[in-house]
Amino acid sequence: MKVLVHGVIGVLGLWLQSTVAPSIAIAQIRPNAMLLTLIVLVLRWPSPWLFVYGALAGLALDSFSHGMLGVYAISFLLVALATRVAGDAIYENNLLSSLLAVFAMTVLHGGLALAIFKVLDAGTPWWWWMMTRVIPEGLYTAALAPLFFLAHEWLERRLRWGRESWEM
Amino acid sequence: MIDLIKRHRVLVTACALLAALAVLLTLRFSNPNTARWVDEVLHAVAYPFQAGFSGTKSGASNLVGDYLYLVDVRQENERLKLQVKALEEELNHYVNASVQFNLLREQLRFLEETPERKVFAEVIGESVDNFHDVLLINKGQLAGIHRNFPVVLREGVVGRIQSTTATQSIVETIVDLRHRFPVTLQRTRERTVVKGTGGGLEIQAPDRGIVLGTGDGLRLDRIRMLADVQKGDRVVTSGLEGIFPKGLLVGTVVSVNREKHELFQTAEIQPVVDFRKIEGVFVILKERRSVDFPMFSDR
Repeated sequence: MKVLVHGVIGVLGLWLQSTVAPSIAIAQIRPNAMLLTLIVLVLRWPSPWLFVYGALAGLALDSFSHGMLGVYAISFLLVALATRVAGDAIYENNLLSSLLAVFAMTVLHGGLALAIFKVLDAGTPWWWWMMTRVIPEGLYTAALAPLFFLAHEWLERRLRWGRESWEM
Repeated sequence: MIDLIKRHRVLVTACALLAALAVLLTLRFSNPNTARWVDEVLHAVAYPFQAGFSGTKSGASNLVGDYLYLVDVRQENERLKLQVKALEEELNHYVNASVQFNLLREQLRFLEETPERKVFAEVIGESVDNFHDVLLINKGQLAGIHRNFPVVLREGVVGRIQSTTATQSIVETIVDLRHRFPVTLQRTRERTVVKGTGGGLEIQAPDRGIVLGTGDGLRLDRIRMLADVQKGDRVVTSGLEGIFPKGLLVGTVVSVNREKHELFQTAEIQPVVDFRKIEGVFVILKERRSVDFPMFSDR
């Protein structure tokens, strides 16, 4: 059942990423809805196998963005593992903690993806893109995080699963 | 050993998955043609979803618009205001149609003026992430489009076909970080002559360089130090990579960076095409053989 729900959330994330995210882009910066679904899932339903979902979600995003296959898959997989470790160690179920977690993990994802691009092509302007794309993307994605956490909490209530209420 | 793997199965699986993805990426990078089938399979699976998602987007916005309109129509007091709004909308529609007509007329003139066979395609989607710059167009293999066919507008170069299905194609724009191709400076191109000097031949070559996409613009690289590059110079395709026809406008030089310790000069280029406003493009149809092995980084 959980696999099915994860699949539905993944497809929903992909739909949001390919239709809503380009429409709500600010100064060409799109929020990362796909990554947001992954972070929320890992923090709220910390299953040890969610990195597999991360890799598949990343592969889907690789395919939809028509980039080099594997770049986002690797970065999503590592972000899922990092979120799991950080979630166990320091995450608290409140607004500030969620915003910080989403911002930090989006920046980590962007940094990892750019690092892979840099390894493959030395001409990638890593710092410039970190400042002009990754950090704004992190801020924008973090700003949308409360919506996803609340939607997830609603889903938990409907399914009668998961953690305690998320605190605003 | 098996007990150890069983005990750490999550970690082992994660490492194995990571290794598999790294192998896929390395294969894909080291020889783009060997692992292309993986891309093609995944893209073929993704295309219907992507097209469907684009369809739901426009469908949902129409549905919302229709619903709001119907609710408002019921309110008698608002009827006149709505009529005015509707007329304004209509006027706006005609203005839009007129603008679009003019744009299309310009593009049609371009179609008639140039000798290459072209297909017009509408842009129906765009990049979903912040690191790539691609366009989804509504024509594919059925219209004769194949990978690496050049995509242009009347203004200049837009990009190349990255992948195709029967009815849709992905255009990798020239500002995409992965895109690079050789160009020539138009002003100095005319000086390409070979002249006798008594004792032999002296070749005055045009000033060439390589254009790199930077995500939000273009950078001209690998220009020799003695080249005469000036602000305002027009940069055109050289045709050397085997994709773009020679002489298509790419952009204009906005600044030149010349450092004494460097081997080459670089320059920032303002693309001639406004990539945020593209609604339709032309794909130049070529012999497939001529674009199968282009002289450029094909990733």
